[in-house]
Amino acid sequence: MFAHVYCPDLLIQCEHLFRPELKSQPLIVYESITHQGSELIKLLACSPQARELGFKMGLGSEQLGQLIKQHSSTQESQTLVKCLPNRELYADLSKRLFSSLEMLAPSVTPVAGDEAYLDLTNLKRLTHSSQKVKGSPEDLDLETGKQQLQDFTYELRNSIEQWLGLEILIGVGATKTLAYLGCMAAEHDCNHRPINPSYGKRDEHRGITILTDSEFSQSVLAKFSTSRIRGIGSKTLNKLSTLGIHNALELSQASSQQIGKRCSVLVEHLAIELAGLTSQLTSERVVENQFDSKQLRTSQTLSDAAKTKRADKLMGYEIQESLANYAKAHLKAHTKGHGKNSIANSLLRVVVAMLLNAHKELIERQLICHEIEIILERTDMHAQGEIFVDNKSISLAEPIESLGPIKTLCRQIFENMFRDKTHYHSIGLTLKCLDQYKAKQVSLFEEAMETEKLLHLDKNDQSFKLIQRYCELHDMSKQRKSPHKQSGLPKSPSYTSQWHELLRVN
Amino acid sequence: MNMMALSNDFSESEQTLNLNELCVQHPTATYFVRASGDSMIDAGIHCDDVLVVDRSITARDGDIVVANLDHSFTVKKLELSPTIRLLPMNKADSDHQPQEIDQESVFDVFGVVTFVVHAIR
Repeated sequence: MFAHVYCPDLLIQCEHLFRPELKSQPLIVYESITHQGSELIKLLACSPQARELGFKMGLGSEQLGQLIKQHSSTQESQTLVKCLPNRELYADLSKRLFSSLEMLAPSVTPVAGDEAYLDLTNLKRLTHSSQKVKGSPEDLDLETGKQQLQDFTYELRNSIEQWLGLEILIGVGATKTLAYLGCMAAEHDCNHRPINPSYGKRDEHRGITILTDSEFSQSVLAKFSTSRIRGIGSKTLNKLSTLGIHNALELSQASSQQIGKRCSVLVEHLAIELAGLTSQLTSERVVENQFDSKQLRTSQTLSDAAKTKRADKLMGYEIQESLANYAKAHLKAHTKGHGKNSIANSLLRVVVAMLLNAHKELIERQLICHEIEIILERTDMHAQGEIFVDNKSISLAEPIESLGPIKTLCRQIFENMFRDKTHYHSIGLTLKCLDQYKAKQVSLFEEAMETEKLLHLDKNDQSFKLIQRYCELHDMSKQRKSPHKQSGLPKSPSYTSQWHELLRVN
Repeated sequence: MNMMALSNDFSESEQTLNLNELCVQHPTATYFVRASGDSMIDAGIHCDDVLVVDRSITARDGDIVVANLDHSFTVKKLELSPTIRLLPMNKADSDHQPQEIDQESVFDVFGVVTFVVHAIR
């Protein structure tokens, strides 16, 4: 039994916590970058009221600019509140969220800065079937188990809300995929069910969907079109529709073998998970596609997580689960009997192999990446076998989708990180901040031209220039992170990280 | 040699006292805020003091709380019966009057104040 916990609109909720007066107003969090003389606006979060005004994730820079202008100038009763991202605040609350979850729940697997899976196996063993004879001990067990599950989720939701002031959504199911769907159903429920006015408080089911009852879960699954399941892209969607599969229920009832033949192993895995059975598929592809949480948690700074999450929502995909090919290869690279170069080379080969996989995915989904990260897990001989995780990432001012430059970059990052006489366990590669290829068509064209040139140079063994070019890229990416020159745009105070910016109370 | 052994003992001994251990019982649920004004001076809360606010504690009658009243944050003593009121604690200044919480006011308790950090020079 798994639970999927998600904190909807985390950025907005963070802003509301210390500035509750904004709750009734449309609020957007965005950043803007001045790029080649023109201003690019990127929306990071918007409140439900802002959504009513037409804001939504994934809007192009121009559209956003127009919307902002439109709603800032008019004399509306509810003026649009704009703010710059307060990453310190978001990171702090996200950290608090995870430490609270760890205190309250048995086993926490973070997925992103605002969502996590909880393994509830130890909480209570619950069976999925409801075909047990009534009155039998198992049936009674099931009933108490259900009650326990309900109590646990209510308690969890209430505690997080009281402790942090954040609302969370919880989905519970026999598998992670089911739990995730449960969570999405809960979100849908929250958005479409008004707060019960007679109590003045939220009803106790709000934000929680438990898919243990098979009839109920079938009705929930039937409402889910396949396009809303994470890990299913447009191509797979088409394949599934030719098989007559349009919603999650149909996918769960389809023969998983048939699915496996027609689509990827990942979809087969999803189908099995939807049926409530834990997938036993151990094929390499699934393992590679599976997100390894432990690693990600250690490698990802929380502000990054929030950033990544937003970028992903742009396309409605989830980076961690399926897109970023977060491969983990166990390597026993003992230093004994090997030269430094051979270890470095063998590790590098793994990086390239993972990259090829990830890149294939990237092309398949017509995406480009803005950030590359390499993670190395090592044991320090001097620190009694303690495990350390190194990670390095480069963010690119210009997104890249062609393989050559990414490969070179990866090699550079890796060579920078590699240390001799170190025992490496595992190595990981993430392509982060993915974006849709088409959205940046124009600038990409220029980039493609340059890349071609660069590759040409490479062939003539003028790799020096290549490196120089990427140094430039790297520097530009630093500029991107630096504070923007847009004055007059408010960023909320660092309530949790600066003594002189604490909330004032009268 | 003895000194070496002793220094090993030193490093293994308990860590230095940390004020966080005393003041912050629930780190994930604790926020710091800064007081302004003198409405709570009788409770030992002066202007510019840092207040330790624990959100994990459910407020009881008589607790000093940070509350959000009509979209502004305030620190006051909470009275739950007979009616919900926020009481200032400054007898010398009659400007500060109890605030009644009625049906129309937007009110919720942000957290309970557990410690006051006051600089005396």
